[in-house]
This record gives sequence, C-alpha cells and structure tokens, in this order.
Amino acid sequence: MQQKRKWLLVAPVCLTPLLLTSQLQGTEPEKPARAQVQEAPAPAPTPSPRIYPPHRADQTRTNLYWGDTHLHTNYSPDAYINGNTVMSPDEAYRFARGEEVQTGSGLKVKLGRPLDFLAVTDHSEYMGIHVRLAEHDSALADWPVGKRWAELLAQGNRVLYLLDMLKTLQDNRPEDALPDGVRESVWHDAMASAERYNDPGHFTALIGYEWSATISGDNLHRNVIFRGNAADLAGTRPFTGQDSRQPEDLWNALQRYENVSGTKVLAIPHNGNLSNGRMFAPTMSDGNPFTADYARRRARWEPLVEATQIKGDGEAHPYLSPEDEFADFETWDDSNLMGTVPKKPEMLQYEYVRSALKLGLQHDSQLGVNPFKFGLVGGTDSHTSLSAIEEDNFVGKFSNGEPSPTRAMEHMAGMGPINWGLVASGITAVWAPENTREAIFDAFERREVYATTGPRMQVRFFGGWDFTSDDAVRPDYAQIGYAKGVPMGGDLLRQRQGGAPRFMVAASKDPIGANLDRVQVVKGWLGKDGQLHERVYDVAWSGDRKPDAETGKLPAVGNTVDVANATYRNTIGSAEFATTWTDPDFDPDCRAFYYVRVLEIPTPRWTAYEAAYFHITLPDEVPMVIQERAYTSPIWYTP
Amino acid sequence: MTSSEKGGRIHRILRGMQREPLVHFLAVGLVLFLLYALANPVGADAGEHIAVDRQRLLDFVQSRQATVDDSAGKRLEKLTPAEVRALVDEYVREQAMYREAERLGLADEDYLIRRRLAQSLDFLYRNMEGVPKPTEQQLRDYYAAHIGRYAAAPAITFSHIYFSGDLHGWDGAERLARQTLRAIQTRGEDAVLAQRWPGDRFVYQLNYAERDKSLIASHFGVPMADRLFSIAPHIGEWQGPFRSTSGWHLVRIEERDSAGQMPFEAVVVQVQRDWVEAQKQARADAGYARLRERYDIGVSPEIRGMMTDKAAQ
Repeated sequence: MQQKRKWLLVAPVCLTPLLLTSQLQGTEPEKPARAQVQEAPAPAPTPSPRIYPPHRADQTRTNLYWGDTHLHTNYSPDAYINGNTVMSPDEAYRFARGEEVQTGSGLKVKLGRPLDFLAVTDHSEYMGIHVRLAEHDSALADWPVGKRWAELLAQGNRVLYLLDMLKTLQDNRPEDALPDGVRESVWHDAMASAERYNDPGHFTALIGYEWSATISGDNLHRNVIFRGNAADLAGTRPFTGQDSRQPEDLWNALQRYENVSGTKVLAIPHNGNLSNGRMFAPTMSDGNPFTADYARRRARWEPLVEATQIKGDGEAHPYLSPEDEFADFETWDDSNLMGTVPKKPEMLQYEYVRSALKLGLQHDSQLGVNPFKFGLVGGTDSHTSLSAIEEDNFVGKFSNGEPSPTRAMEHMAGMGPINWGLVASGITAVWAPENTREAIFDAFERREVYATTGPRMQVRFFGGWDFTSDDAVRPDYAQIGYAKGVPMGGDLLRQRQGGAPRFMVAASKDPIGANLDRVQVVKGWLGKDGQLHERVYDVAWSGDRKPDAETGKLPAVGNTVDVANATYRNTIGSAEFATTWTDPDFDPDCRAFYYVRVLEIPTPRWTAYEAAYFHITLPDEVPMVIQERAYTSPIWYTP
Repeated sequence: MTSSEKGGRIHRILRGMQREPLVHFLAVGLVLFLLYALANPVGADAGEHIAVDRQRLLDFVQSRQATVDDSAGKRLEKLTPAEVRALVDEYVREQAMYREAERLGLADEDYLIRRRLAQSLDFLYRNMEGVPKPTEQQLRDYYAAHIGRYAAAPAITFSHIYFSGDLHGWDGAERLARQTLRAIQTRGEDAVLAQRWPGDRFVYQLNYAERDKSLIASHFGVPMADRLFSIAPHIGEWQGPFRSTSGWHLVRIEERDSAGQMPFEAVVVQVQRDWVEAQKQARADAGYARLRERYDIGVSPEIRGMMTDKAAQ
C-alpha cells in the first residue's frame, strides 16, 4: 500500500514535463527543515584570544553567499492573474532554502542547490489583495472595488474579474484605494513569513517589497530591502507607486522607516533596460538637473543596481560599447516595460549599468558627489515564487509559462514578448562574514557583492597600490587583499607617491558548472578632455591564445556545446584564474572605476535544454547557446 | 454564506477552479462546461444544440490567446458584424468538431487529454472541501509520527591548509601536509601560521563558516566531505591530512553542529503544511478508492504472470 501511494504521488510529476534536469527533483525526499529562530540577534563578534582562528564574524574573513534580491509570489497582483494563485511567500522561502514545494499546477519542485538568502519583493500596489479576496477577508467587504471583485469571484467569473482588476490598477483612482488597515495587515503577513523562515547562520529571509512606479509605461521600479526584523518594522507599511511615482518621495519614505524603526533600509533599482531612458537620466523628477543634495541622497539610498534579470541583461549595450564584442548579451531593447513606446538609441545611455557608472563620474566632477556609485546585483524578477533561473531549471517568468513543449514560442503572460527571449538570470553573490540579515545587508551597503547570470562562479576582486604579483597565488590571498587594499565596492584615493593602482583578481568556476573563458577588467573614466571613456581589458584567459596583433582582441575560446543533446564539455577553458593586474593607462588626475567581468565557456541556453527535453525544433532565430558571466561591483578611483 | 447548499458547493468548486493556473484553463474546459451548465442552466448546450452567448465567446477569445488582459473584451466590442459572424462560426466549428471527436471517442486515444482530465479530477478531489484545519494535537501527533522529517542538516565551520596534488604530486603533497602538521604540533600554531600561511592557493576558500555537506562536497569532493562530517572534530586543533579531489588538506574544525532533532515549536509551520498536504492526498486517495470500486479490472494472464514475484512462483 505504501508503495502504491508513493507511486500515485510521484506519477503526475513524472508525467508532467517540468522536470528538465536534476536541478528540479520531484521525487527526492524532502530536505529536513531547519530551526526557525525568530528575531534572533546576530551572534556578536566575540574577541578571540588567538591570532589566527578565522572567526566568522571577522569582517575580513568573508564567506560567499548566494541569493535572489527580486522575487514575486501570489501576493503580487500580476503574478496571481498569471496563474500563481497558491504559492505564497512561505513557499518562496521554503523552495529557496531547499525544500520541496508544489506549484498550483500540481508540480512538485525542489531546488538542486538551495540559496543562502532570499528577499521576497512583491509589488506593494494592491499587495496580497487577491489572496485576501479569495479568503473572503471581511475588511474588504465594504470596499466597493473589493465587493465587485468578490462578487465576480463568487460567480466564478474569472474573465470579467480579471478585466475589472486590470482596469482598476491602470486607472489608479483615489477612491479605489484600499481600506485602512488592509495594507498594514497584508504587510504584517508578508513580514511574518520572512520571520518564519529566517534562520541566522543557515538561511536569511530578508524583508522587502517592490515599489513599482511606472511612468507612461517606463519602468522606475525599486526593490526595497530592510536590515531589521518584523518587530522593528511593526506599524510600517509599504510605500506604493500610488503614493508617489517619484524616487525622491520613496527616499523620504525610506528615511521615515529608519526614523521609526531604528533599523536600516535600501532600495535597488530594477534593471534600467525597460525605463526608456528614465532610470539614469540626468534630471530629477521635477525635470531640473541634479543637485548635490539629490546626488547625495541617491547614493545613500541606492548603493546597488540590478544588472541582470529574466527581462534582459543590463550591463552593457552594443550601441554604447561598439568595441566590446561581448556587449550584446541577452539584450532587450525594443521598448519600455509596457511595450507602449519603442526604444530610441539616445535613451540607451540612461539605461545600462556601464554607461550609468560613467555618467556618475561626470556628475561627481560637477557636484562633488557621485549619484551613481552603485554595486551590481542580479535578481530573477520571477513571478512564480520559484527562484529557479539556471539554464537547466528555468521555470519561467510567470506561472502560465512553466516548461512545456509550446511555451518557448508563446507570448510571456499572453501579451508580452515571445518567451524564448526570456533570460534565465540572475543571482547575487555576497561576500559576508556570516549568513544573517545584518551581515548580508551590511555587505549590500558596502557593495561587496556581485551579479551573475545564473552560475555560481567565485570572484574575488581587490584594488590597492602595492600588491605584488606573488600575492594572487598565495593561499591566503583574500586576507592579503583586505590587508593591503579594498574589496569590490571600495574606493581608492590619490596616492602621494604616484604609480598606477594594482588589482588582484581571483575567479573560480562554478564548482558544478562550466569552465571559465577569461577574466576582464572593465574600466570607465572621465578624461582630461571632459569626455567619458571606457575600455575592456582581457587580464587572464585559458589556453595559449594570443591577442590579435592588429585588433588586440583575444580569439574566442571555442565551443563544445552539443545543442541537440543540450550538453557541453569542459575540455576548453580553465577552472580558475588568479592574477594581479596594473592599469597600463592610468592618469592620476582622472576619475575612474574598474569592475571585473568573468566569462564562462559557451554552454547550452535554456531553450536548448527545453528543445532537447521535449524533442521539439525551435526556429533558427532562437539562440541555443549562451556565454554566462559574472559582473563585480566596481572599485572607484577618485583623485 | 447565504447561498443554498447547492450554490455553496458550486461556489467551492469554482473557487477551486479559480486557483488553477491559466495554463490549465484549456485543460479544464470540459469540467468548466459542466459547471456552467450547472450554474446557468441555459437549456441544452449539449448534444446536438450549441449555445452561443457573450460569455462563451469571451472565454473562447481569451482561451485562444492564452492570456487574460482586457484586450479580448475591447476587441469583442470593436468587432464588425462580419467579424462577429466569423468568430461565431469558428466557435461553433470548434464546438461541433470537439463534440464529434468526443462522440467518436478520440479523447480516449489522446494520452495528453486523458492525463489532463485525470489531473483535473485529482485536483477537484484534493480541493473540493477547502483547506482542512488541524488542531494542535493533530499536528503534534503528525510530528511524532514523522519525526525523522524534522531534523536539522549538519553544518561545519573550519579552516584548512592546502597542498596541491598538481604542484607536488600526490605523495609530495601528503608529505608536505604531514610535515606542516608536525611543525604546528611541535612549534605551535602561531609560530607556523603567523608569518605566512603555509601550503598552496586553493581554488575556493580558506575558511568555511556553517556550510552544509553538499557545498563542502562540491568544493572538496564527496569522500572528504563525508570524513569532515564524521571524524571526531577535535575543535580548534589541526588534524589530517585529508585527501580531496585536488590535493591534501590539514583541517581545523571550529564548530560542527550535528544533525539534530528540531523541537515541534520550531517546525510547526512546516508540520502544518505537511499535515494539510497529507490530508489532501488522503482525499485524493479516498476519491480514487471510491472510484476504483466501480471498476472491474481485467488483467491478461501474461501481465498477471509478470505481476507475480518470482520467489512466490
């Protein structure tokens, strides 16, 4: 009998084609749960009597933690209407920390490699409202909009209900605002979920939400993430795009949180690629040029930017970086978020990370403060409650786009771009002394983080003035990095004795992934001519490739991908690189930034895994190979 | 709830449907038609009569688009009479073809349809009576009965000194590791480590804090991970050498949490989830068991033979 029951449980999973690979294992026994320590303070860094035991609370003995800073659940209206009706923040946290969960369509899913941390960031606008309506929340009984919706729900009239809801969201009329108390109550539930799964030392559940201001269809969204716990934030409520669509007002709201809660908070701008030139535009919301005060506040509240996610990669654009043969990577540049206004080339400079970092140098020279002094993170922005964005486990953007023989050629959410263009990306790596809310948040603030497009390659990046070429190959190179320099996200200031800055880079492949092609340093600077410049240096690469004498370009690493079978071989590339690099073009009078880009060898794209699994043929225009990458936060030089 | 018992039941079923993701919208079409027939008795939209009304057309448009936005409603309003006629024709054609296909038993031939319908029924069994509400005692009983599920995974905190097999050869690396361990034991840790950390550069990290076995295994290989989690930890003392996939290591374990039983209070949320899931599964099993009784199963002698254990023959 036991045997039979098991079979019944497992059967729908085996029959249902979600299980692409070992990353999602429907039949694995559930991983045992961990303790849920509520509101436990971080272990205080106790002074150690010994010199060398590397106590984990020592700021320079950092561990690498992986997580998602951008994930939606059924609390987000657009997730709900696109089929994610049953997966709450609880399921999101459980899945992220390695437990098996069941999606609304009955699929059992489990992450092959759990995450170390997760911020659930549901849209703050009408957060949780559909869940409450489905539960017949009495607080919504007298709310005309809710009444209308509940009636439609009760009639089972899904279509009219959805039409009405979308229209109400779009119109944003004051009389449609939620009744008092509902926002607070939903927010309380969202925070309580994070508290249930936050487990200091093992899994960090960060409290957060997404402020989803959209102006004329242009995306200005920010993910708001807190350092503290639910008790600190009692009585607060999420700031919405209905409250204000101006980032300056969001920052005021963040200041108010800090005033009342005593904890800290920051905002992470959404990938700027769908903002149609708004995200890093040189003007404030009132249309005037930046003031020093604006720049200071922006730098203070927004120390990070989302460089890559499912809706496109935002590091660089080929129009802006024509010399960079890797700049055209999973580019989404057709239009704004809502698809209402086509993209114009002049918008691009205000959308992409590399360009914004350069513009920041210029603002800095004019205002004395750099508004765009940000580190780089990756988020999924998945609306399925499932942070599963590796090529071989890509669940998709919305629940109505789960793996199937047809989804690659269907429209995202039925109305967006064709699904094959979705990017199985991104993830955030954090160098922190321990896995707690406080330590992860503090690493965010000092920008000691980096983004990858999915794989978990390990990247160390230090800047300093007197690294020796021996340092990078020492067993304790990381301690040397901290002792003699600054890690990613840090600052270098003018040296009296002159000389160029030296950078120590160490990159290792994802322990269960593909080899690495090369390590590059991307430099941007403000020249004496007042112009902004950029250059990409190859600083370490695999094999005995030689840069082309004429172009200076390193030949491509090659390609071992077998598209038909969705496999590759690690017969090319290198498992690790460690090197010290000196800027050959350094000018001590010029502001500059440096960040590292690490390229993997080519591997099968999610579309290749899907085609191989379902035995389908996709059109030639669908890319089947991807060269995944990591982007570190920059190190800035300021004269 | 003010509606009649029948209405309440339909309501509950519809709420269940509401939870279905859109991707199943087409799949549950058949069930929906039955429910519509119950909810709005429009006479005979069955057999040889095909009813066409606004709601059916809207659903038709939405389902074909596989989307739910307001474009379908808008589009319907803007259609010219000729376009509406064409839409109705398409709808009627699909209905007629669908019903004939059903009459001919084509659905039985189509595995995809069989599977979807079976899943839909399973879903109904699981959710028809709403979410079951457990008492604390029920949860405690469930926890006690499944105690093995609620254990914490072990974690380890340690530093290591690495000797590369590539650089020194496996034997050379092991010899160097043993020499270094002896030096630490005779001269003291500070004397050996203070000036310059011995050994070679390891591809991943020097220090690991509270990491689980799968991560350690991915960096050092499974055998070494197994050993680190099973040896006497000798907290704070250097021990080894241990062989990894890339060389030999001396290891100083700072902390090792063994796999421990989690108290009920710490896992109550998960217990509740598991309990609810178990109840739903039991409903589905019971629903199937009732169903199964109605069937007489004829297994061919050949297959019956294959179903019998060899030992029992």
